Amino acid sequence: MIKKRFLSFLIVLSISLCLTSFGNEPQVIAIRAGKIWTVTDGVITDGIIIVDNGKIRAVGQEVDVPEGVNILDMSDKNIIPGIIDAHCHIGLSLDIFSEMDETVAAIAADMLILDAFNPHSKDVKKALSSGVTTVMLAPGYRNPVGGQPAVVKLDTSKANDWVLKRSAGVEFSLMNQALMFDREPTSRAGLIELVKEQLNEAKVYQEGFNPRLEVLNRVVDANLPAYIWAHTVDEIASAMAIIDQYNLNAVLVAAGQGDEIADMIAKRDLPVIYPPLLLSSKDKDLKRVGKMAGSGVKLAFASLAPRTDLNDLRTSAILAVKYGLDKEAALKGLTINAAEILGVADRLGSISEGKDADLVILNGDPLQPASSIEMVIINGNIVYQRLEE
Amino acid sequence: MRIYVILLTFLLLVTVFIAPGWAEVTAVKAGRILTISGEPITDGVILIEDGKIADIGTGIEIPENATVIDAGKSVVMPGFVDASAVQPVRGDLNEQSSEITPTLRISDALDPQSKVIKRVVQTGVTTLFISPGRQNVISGLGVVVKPTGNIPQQMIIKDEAALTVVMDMDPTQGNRIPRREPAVNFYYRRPGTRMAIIWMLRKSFFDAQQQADTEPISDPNLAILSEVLKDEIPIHVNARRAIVIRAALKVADEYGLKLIFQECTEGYRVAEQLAERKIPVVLGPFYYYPGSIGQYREGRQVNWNNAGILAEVGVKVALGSGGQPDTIDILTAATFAVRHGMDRDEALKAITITPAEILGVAERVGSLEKGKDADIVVLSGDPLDVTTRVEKVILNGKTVYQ
Repeated sequence: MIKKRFLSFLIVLSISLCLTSFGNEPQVIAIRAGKIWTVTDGVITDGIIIVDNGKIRAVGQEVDVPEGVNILDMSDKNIIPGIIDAHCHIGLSLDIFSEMDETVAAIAADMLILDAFNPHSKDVKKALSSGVTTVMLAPGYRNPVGGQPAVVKLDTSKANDWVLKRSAGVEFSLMNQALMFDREPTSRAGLIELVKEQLNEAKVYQEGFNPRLEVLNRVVDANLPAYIWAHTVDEIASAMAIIDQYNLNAVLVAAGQGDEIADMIAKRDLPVIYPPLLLSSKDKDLKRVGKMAGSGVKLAFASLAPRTDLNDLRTSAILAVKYGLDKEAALKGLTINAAEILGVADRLGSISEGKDADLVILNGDPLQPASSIEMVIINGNIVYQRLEE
Repeated sequence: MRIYVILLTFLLLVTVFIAPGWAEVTAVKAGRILTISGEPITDGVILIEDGKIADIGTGIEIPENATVIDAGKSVVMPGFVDASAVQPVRGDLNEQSSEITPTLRISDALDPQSKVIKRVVQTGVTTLFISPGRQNVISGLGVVVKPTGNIPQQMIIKDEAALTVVMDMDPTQGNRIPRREPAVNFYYRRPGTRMAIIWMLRKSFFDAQQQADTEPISDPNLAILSEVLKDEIPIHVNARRAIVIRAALKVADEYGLKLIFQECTEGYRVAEQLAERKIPVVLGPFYYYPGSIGQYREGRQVNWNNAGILAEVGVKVALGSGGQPDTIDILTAATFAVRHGMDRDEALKAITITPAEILGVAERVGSLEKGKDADIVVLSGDPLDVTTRVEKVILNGKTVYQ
């Protein structure tokens, strides 16, 4: 009898060890949660999530837990889907400014940002600790055409599998920061002219060996999304003119003053990747997000880390709610909207059947500044756990 | 029959009571209206409907629903047209990567949120020509805009209005000629001298001429220049000194170009030639740049009597702020031009209808006539008095400054 108990104890111990410390073996686990923010399907109180082989098999209040399954008891916790950072530059280098932009050539459409990414960077751990499970790695804004961003999951300890998209599109910048004094373009008019010239060339590109034009050709055909940096009203207006002219499948990045022409953005169904809201931002700027979302613009938050702190991603959403953004929209902006914009909504962005088991477990309401992140799970494996002090 | 009567009465009622309410009507009562195109009107009324002038004259009945702007003691003029205006543009005006950039459109760089816009409106300017910077030999295409609107597209009234060419020494600024040192960036290039500027200009048009018969022209730069050669786009030449103006005339003769001179501070020395060829000039800025050094200072002196002399021999003269609204605004420029010998009526035309004609927008702006845009400036007194100030500016029928 005692022997049997001891044996079962040993088995439980080994399984839980596997789960928490190694977490590599695929298996079924059940997570009991106080509140599950499914994002697409409302909030479930006292629910259960069944994770099978890294995917969510079932979620709900009345779910049959198979026998012999480990139960992770989180009945006093909140669970949200893994946060998606729609634009950041983590893991690129210590000297971020040199690694993000190939400023020698203004048009770098054929360059892949993934080639510069270090999956063992400290930033990755920091991102996990702030609840971010997926990021879009992007080139910077100092080139009119900066390169191709990538979408990666942050469980980079495994050898492969973490790259969702090697090339998620092409990054454009119509901001004044793309101007340089010693290479073309040096003026705004020259910048727009250069971009149009490239797209004109790409439009008529047939065959041959020109990787730059080949990529841009796919952008013109709206096969590949164009991520366009544009901050002020005039920058956004010129971006929209180019989008209309070349029929781009575009996403606006950092449309800070977008609320002033929000109706025009909404009319074109342009999603917006919004830059971080900081505690130090002006009230006027903090109110812009709510206004823009109110006009029907689809928003996703971005940290632009390491320019800013990665923790700012959730803080952005919290500040946006404080200054007039709908609570639901804020949570969507952290998860499903970002997934839809990046084209990975079939796998990520919400807690629903069939999606990846990327979960963030908090000790309170996710949109309360006081609640902190207890545990982060990617593909059913625990990748971060807060240390008890 | 009865039903028809009822219906007719109803329709009549609708037209009487509702229809005028649809269109927003504004009436401006003025002590004196300087229409520019015709005789001045005393105690007149301007009726504005949908941003256009619906009627103008004395004894006009003001509709009941109209918003009345009473300027009974003021002088009313058409909004000023500044053909050498300040640039509400973000960033550098000059694309420095090349000296020949005809495809550059300054309309791509317009900034409706610019603080300059507010300042421009305060000086009574309601239409302005914005050209690319003046440090390239061929700078690019200018645009005619109104200082209103939320996005650049709403400002523009005529895109590709003119090609800006610079023939002073300004394009040589910053250029170095590679001798022993390696050419590390694009500033190691021509032109370094005046003859190189003229050579580059001549070569560009020569290349365009060579390509004129091919269809379509593959090089976008030459495509624009060949349009210029076909007189579809006018050329604004920045030339200050007489020697430069003469050189420009020579190149123009070679290629049959249609010129308009900007700045033109030494225009009085070649007044006869300009009059003979019917070349209009846009004068301004009337301000000495203390920052300019050496060769870039050439021809920067202020010649106030220039306007009078040019106008007298029959040259079409427009006055502009030259991008310096804080020092000499357009109305002050006209005042000083009169003080130094220009005819009064000529001076008033030089800030309204003449620049509008030069820019090719005279069918919309430049004078107060039926059917034109309701761009109106209300002045506290005689426009050519230095103590006069701009009291109110109406742009497309809406008060934008008070």
